[in-house]
Amino acid sequence: MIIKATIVCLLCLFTVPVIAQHPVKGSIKDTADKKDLQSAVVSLLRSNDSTLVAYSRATREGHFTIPKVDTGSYVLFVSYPRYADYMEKLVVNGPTDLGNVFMTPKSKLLDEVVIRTGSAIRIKGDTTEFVADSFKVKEGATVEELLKKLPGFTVNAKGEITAQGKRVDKVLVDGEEFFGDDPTMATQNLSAKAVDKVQVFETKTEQQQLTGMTTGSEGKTVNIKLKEDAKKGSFGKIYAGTDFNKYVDSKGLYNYFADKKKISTYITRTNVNAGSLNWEDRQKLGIENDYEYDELSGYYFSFGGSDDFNDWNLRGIPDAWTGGALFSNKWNADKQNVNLSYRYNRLGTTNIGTTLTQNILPTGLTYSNKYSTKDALNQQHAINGKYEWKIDSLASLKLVVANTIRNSHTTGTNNGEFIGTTLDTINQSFNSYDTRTERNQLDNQLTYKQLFKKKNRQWQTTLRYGITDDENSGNNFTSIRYFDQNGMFNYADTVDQQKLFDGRSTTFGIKTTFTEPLSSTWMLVFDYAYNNNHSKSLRNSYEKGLNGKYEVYVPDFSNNFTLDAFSHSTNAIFRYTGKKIRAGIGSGISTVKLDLDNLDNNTTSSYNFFNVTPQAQINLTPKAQTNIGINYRGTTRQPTINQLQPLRDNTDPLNEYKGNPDLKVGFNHNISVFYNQYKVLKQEGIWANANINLQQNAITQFNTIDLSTGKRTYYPVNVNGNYNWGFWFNYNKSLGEKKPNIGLGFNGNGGRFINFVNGQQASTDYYTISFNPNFGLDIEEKFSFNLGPKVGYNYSKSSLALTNNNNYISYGGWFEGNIDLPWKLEFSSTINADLRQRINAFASNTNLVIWNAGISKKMFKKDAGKITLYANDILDDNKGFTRTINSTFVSDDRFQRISRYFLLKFEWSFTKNPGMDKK
Amino acid sequence: MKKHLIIFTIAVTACINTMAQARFFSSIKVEYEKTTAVRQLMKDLQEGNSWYEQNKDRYPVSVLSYYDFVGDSTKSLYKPGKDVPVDPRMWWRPSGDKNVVYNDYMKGVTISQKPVFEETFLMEDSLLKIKWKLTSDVRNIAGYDCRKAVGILKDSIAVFAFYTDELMISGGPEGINGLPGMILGLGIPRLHCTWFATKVEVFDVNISKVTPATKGKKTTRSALEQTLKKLAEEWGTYGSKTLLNFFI
Repeated sequence: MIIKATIVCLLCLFTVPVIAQHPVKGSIKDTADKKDLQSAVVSLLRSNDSTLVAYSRATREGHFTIPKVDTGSYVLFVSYPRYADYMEKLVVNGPTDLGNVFMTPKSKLLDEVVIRTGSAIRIKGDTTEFVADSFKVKEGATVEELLKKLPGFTVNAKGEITAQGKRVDKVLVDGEEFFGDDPTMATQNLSAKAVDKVQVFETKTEQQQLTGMTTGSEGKTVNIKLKEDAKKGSFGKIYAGTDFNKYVDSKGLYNYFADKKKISTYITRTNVNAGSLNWEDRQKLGIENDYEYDELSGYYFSFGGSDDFNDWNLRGIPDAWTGGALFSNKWNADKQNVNLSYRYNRLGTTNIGTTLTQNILPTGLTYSNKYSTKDALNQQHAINGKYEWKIDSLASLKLVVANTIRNSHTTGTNNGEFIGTTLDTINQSFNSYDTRTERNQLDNQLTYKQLFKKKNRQWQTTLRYGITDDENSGNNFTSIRYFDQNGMFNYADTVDQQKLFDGRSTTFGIKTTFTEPLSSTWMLVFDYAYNNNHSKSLRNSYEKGLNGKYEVYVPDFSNNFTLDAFSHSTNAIFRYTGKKIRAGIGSGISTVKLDLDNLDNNTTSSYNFFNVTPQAQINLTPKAQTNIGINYRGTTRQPTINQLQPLRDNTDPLNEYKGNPDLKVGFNHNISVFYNQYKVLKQEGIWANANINLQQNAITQFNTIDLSTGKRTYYPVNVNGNYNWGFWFNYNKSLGEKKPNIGLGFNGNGGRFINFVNGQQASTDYYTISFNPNFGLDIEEKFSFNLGPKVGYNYSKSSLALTNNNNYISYGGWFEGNIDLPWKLEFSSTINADLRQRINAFASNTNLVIWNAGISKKMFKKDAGKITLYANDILDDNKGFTRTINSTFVSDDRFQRISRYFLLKFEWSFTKNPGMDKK
Repeated sequence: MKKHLIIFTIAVTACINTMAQARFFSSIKVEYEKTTAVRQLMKDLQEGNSWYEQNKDRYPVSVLSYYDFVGDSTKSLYKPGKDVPVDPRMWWRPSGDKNVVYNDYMKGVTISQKPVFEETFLMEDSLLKIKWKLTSDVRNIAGYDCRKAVGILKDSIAVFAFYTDELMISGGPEGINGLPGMILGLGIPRLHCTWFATKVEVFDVNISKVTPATKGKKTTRSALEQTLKKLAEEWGTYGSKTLLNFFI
């Protein structure tokens, strides 16, 4: 009875639609002994949406007053600890006195009045979310039947849905539009069992999403979130470009996923680039880069993804095919996962190149010029597999297997001439070669990682086993004509050899790392590694016998050996992690033993090296968004076996290499500093860094040039005094919305390089500095452009040729811009200019201005298609070019690049998302 | 029957006696434990992005931080409490977690110190307005029966609060306020954060130190929001969701 009494509606008056403010007062009393309930909370809720409007506390006498209440209808809500809530409808029409309001202790109630919000429904911002499993539907029901069960939903016979009183005009599945704009497609074809949640929100057009304004007449959008394991679908992309004559550039990607299985395939065919996939495509296909955490340095690093089949290494005109497939799966609550991939690359290149070199000798300048042609075909099959098993919350196991099979076939010719100090031709040479290489590389890595209950304690062990098999064969023909001082033909020399190489190397290694927290801020990282490498190298040269076959052994240019390398290394680093300071200090030491067994003369030699690698780093965060770091790293530089073996290599008879068994271990000190600051609110950033490398016992070259023949012989040698430095500074600022971005860049590098020529030490001091401001403006959906002029100065001075000036100014810059035109047309263009001052060493100069432009039209629903007319290098100016300036030579290297072409390109991407087959 | 009636009367009387002991406190010190469900948050921020799936192990599952609230029915101060170091190897750093909020309930004014990236703002404005709906769900937090209220902040952000009548302060974590009692539990699903009181002191609370922070660039709520909104547009969904931290 009492319960009923509390919820009886007391007042039923008509409200007058006049806004006025009136006080509402009353007294709160206990039903049993009419005690005044001091401090009881009296709240007024708006009756239509039950939001809290005002509240007050009862005085000592139980009186309450809510002074200014707008005319309207309310619910009076009174609460007091351990008393039942009191609720009463209330219409405020004038000053209202409620008299005594009686509260009932909960102990007197058999049950309470409860307005429960179902946990199956959640409100997230403007979105209402329903947990699908909370609404029972029959087996095999579609989403449509599920929707009918949801509160506020109606579905009519045509399948049209109304949600919260509004027409549903869009159904998304996992946020993506499901097969066009017909909502029934999704609801009638998807199984209700696959649904995790159903979300309802206002449909907003793109315009409204930008402005946040709604007109109130929009419909509703229903988003069906599928359960993880019900996800199925595919997407793909087709890209095809041609000039209907010589050039093609095409690509196809297809990706299918079902549950947690994912299968991707791709194929590319192009002769305008190296055919490698860009980062975005790789990401989409799940060809992920791998990340590793390096306990020693305290940083994450990533590896993988780089090989020779990319545009960076491309020289000459390409002709490429690539293809690949990937399979990945996760199971057992993601505790186990596997990732398998196969990749095939085939890259053919043809190149015609020129290398012009000015040699600086103590006695004067000489010149060597080379004209070369080259045809190469590189192929690679790569198989990668990864299996991960999270054994429990603390232990995990990872197995990585990688197998790469590469082969290449290269043929080419070189025509060279050597011009002496008196500008007389000293020699002319012709060389042709035909080389085949084959490499089979297998790498297996097993990692076990154990975490412990103690935070930050960790133990990780990696076992590694790898095999590399090499087999090369090549025919090398060189004929050289030598001239005497009067320019008269003196004599000719011919080298015609077949070189065979057979090598096999096996590596076994183990590395174990412990991480132990010493305190809340200090940590010790300790590791130990053992590596054993056994390799066999059989390199043999043959000359033609009387029967014209290569069967006469040439011992001078042959070498057969086995090498065993053993190394033990250990590192100990103390790491400090404070609030504003992170620091680390420690060192690694290692011993390396090389046992060389020369099979030609049955001699053995041993080399022992002791390496230390001290390091220290400190990283400061003096205030938010500012970071300063200083790093030191010392590294022992150990000579390679190729540098140590006193062997001759006559692949180029005019440039003969020989090893040096007397080489000492070198040491490198590297110090680097950086300063980064980014002001987020001001959108202003400064990034600066600088580093210097000081080398002790650096390994450089000892060159001997015979001026009477033009032949150079060289061997590696230790030298002191080499160093190099670099700095980089960048400032960027956005002047605001719809205003330009400006930036300033300033960078440089330089140093000293010492080597030897004809017995004399040659030292070069060099530096390059460049200044590059940039300016950009981006107005969304209208236009954007970016402009970056640059100017630089290149200085070098050789101790051998003090009078020779090879300093030059380089300048140019880049521009990129695009404009959105009507009818979904877009025009874009880029210009890259690379200009430099001519230097005295060469008669001609290479300047490049590359201008590309394209016009494209988007088409189909969601702009899924695009047609582009693209013009590359409109000025037909593209060439490959690199310039090297050294203490003993200045060289310009030119090679071919794809220049002007026009392509008509078509792009289409499609997405077919979940559950269409679930009828 | 008679016997039953007697027992009933005794029970009721006993109840009323305990009832009379209902105590109300007007000055308190509360320690809140804030839990951020980092993985859920990152998943949300990077929705539809394979980046999350690839790197989820680099994010902690959740992160705890602590805050102290001191105040009475007229004013209160909310500020960071004891420090819990974040694992430096994890890819996640908190943002908007160092606010110092001073509320004056009599004048209806808040003075909040909000470090936002490189700038520290001192925002002086009216108390944060939240549309509250009361429910009758009750949950006991730190020994107090708390009623659940659902609030809508800025017309779109849902806030779930548990408040108790027994503490006569209309405050709560950060700038959340406006309920007829003290908020001891708070959840903001959009931020994947919850705050729960772990300690409530009601005796001998020294409120002399409840004074607003003084350092920072003076601003108003609308000016600060304008600044952040501009930023959010530049950042897309990720940014706008992250920046919500500064609105509360």
